[in-house]
Amino acid sequence: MQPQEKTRHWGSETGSLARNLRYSISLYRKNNLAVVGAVILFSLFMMAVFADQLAPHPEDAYISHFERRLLPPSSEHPFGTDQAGRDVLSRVIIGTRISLPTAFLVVLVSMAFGMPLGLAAGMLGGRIESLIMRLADIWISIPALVFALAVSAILGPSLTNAVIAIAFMAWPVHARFIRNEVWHIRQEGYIEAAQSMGAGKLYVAVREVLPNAFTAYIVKITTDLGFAILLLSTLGFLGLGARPPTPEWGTIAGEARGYLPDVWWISIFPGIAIFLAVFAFNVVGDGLRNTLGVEEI
Amino acid sequence: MRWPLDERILEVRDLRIQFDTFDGIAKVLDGITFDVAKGEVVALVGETGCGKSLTAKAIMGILPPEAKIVTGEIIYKGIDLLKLKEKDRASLRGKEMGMIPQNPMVSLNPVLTVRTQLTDLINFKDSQDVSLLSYYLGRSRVAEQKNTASEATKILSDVALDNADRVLESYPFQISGGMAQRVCIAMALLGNPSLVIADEPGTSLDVTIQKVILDLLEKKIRERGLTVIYITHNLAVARRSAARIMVMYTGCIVEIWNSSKIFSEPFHPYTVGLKKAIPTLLGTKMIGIPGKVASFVNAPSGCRFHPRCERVMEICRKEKPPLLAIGEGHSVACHLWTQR
Repeated sequence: MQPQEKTRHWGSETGSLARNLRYSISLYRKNNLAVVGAVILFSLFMMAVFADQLAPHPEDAYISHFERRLLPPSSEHPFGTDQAGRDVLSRVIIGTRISLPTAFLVVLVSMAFGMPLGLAAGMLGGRIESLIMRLADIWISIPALVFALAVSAILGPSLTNAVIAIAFMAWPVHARFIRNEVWHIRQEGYIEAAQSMGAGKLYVAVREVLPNAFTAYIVKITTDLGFAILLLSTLGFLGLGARPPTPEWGTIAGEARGYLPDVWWISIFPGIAIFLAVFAFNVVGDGLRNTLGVEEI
Repeated sequence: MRWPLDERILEVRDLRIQFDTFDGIAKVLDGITFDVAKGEVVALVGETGCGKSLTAKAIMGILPPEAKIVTGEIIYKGIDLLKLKEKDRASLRGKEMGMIPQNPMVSLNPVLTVRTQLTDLINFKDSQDVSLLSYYLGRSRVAEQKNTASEATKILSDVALDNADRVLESYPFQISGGMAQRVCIAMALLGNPSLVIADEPGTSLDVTIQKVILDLLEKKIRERGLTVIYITHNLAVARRSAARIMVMYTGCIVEIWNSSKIFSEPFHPYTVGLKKAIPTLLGTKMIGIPGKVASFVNAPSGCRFHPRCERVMEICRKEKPPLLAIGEGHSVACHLWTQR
């Protein structure tokens, strides 16, 4: 009597986690650029972990050697040496330990403020939503760079203050993003079904809306990491972020700008590092977008 | 309406719901009144967009925020639900009243496995409010997990899912519509509700699966003595499953009668038209109802059906006919009766 029901499978026979993961990876690998980005990112992370072993002169992060200043690239110093005689290659490698963690910190802090506010705005609606979203609108209208300038003028230029300034400016974007996701997801049938089974607002927010918003959010966070690196090194270059002799990429490039164009190697190599990191985060974000099936955001 | 209802579980009185739209006020429910007796199976039928699902959502208390209840009472077991606080109403959902959703394929959260969703529900159903923290702590306790795991399997086997364990490990999009519908039924019945609203059960499934689902639902109704409101536009389903049928037209109930009588001896011109519009497998000519469904914003004056009615009279354009009992369990809102 009972008809045999057909079963649809999503890229796998058993629906096991390992199979689904392999399927996702096979989707991701279709995007060659994203694979390149993933390789670059992986190398950068490895560089950060093993910086002491990889850098030919790890002590050069902070210690000057004036006897060998401004040497052009050679087999001894592949990226040359800077105005204080420090090995540029070593400083660029050790710089990953500054740029990557601070970028994550910036994104985490802005997430910590933006996500709950956006979720609250989307779920509660009404006046609370208007209040949060109008505040976010006003916030977004302040140029981040100008605000960072003001912060460093008041609190003094340092890496910590740059992180505070950027995270402080980034939360409205996260709040707005999450709130828009909540609005889309709230129209879905499963929200109504959950409500009809007695789910409260908090349950709907945490167990129904957030997990569904996360696929799109991960893509956004990935590209945000790239922007965070870019902004932090911009501030470093302008002398508003990390202070010398911190081997932050933007700071290294900024310090040496007086020696341009003849001494090009001090600025060019950290510049390439910044470019590679930002590029990698962006294309990885793109790849994730395709893999996770997220629409253009 | 003088239907002998000894024990009414649900009374809806003059329920009016409207939406403020750009074009004006849309009066989507225009004074709905009906009773449901304990243990009764009724069907609410009508064309798409006539307010059937909105009635169901109003009873459940899950109206969209834009919907405004103007007047009316929804009395469940002697309590007016519309006067309750949201917190008290939420505690009724899933436990006193359940809803089987319209489209099972979109009614399960796509990013969680069936097991996770069922376990969540099992954990939440016993206690009034489990805090999220205690919920997450509880999830890590092995003994509790084992209990809920075997309970989940039992619940799914109960709705005749033979490969329950495989379904539990699947994501909603990995299972078929029939399976998803079963899972939805299992979830809706999990908290042992006394009133179940089945919103177009099986409409999105093909006819053979639909029959299986309806059989299953009927079995559950008999087993547990549930009170059920079927919401459907499928007259055959209504005729088959329900004892009483309420016919709706653009936010008004036009006729209520026994399902055995309503299509053999319909009174209201709209019900007559509906009956004629049923396609038959023998290929006899279907006759539709002329005109189109009235808009809610500029609803016709008087009887909302009058522009499409074959037997329209002068009074129909001016006055809204009241829903009057005209016989044993038979109510009609039509001037053909009031003018007699």
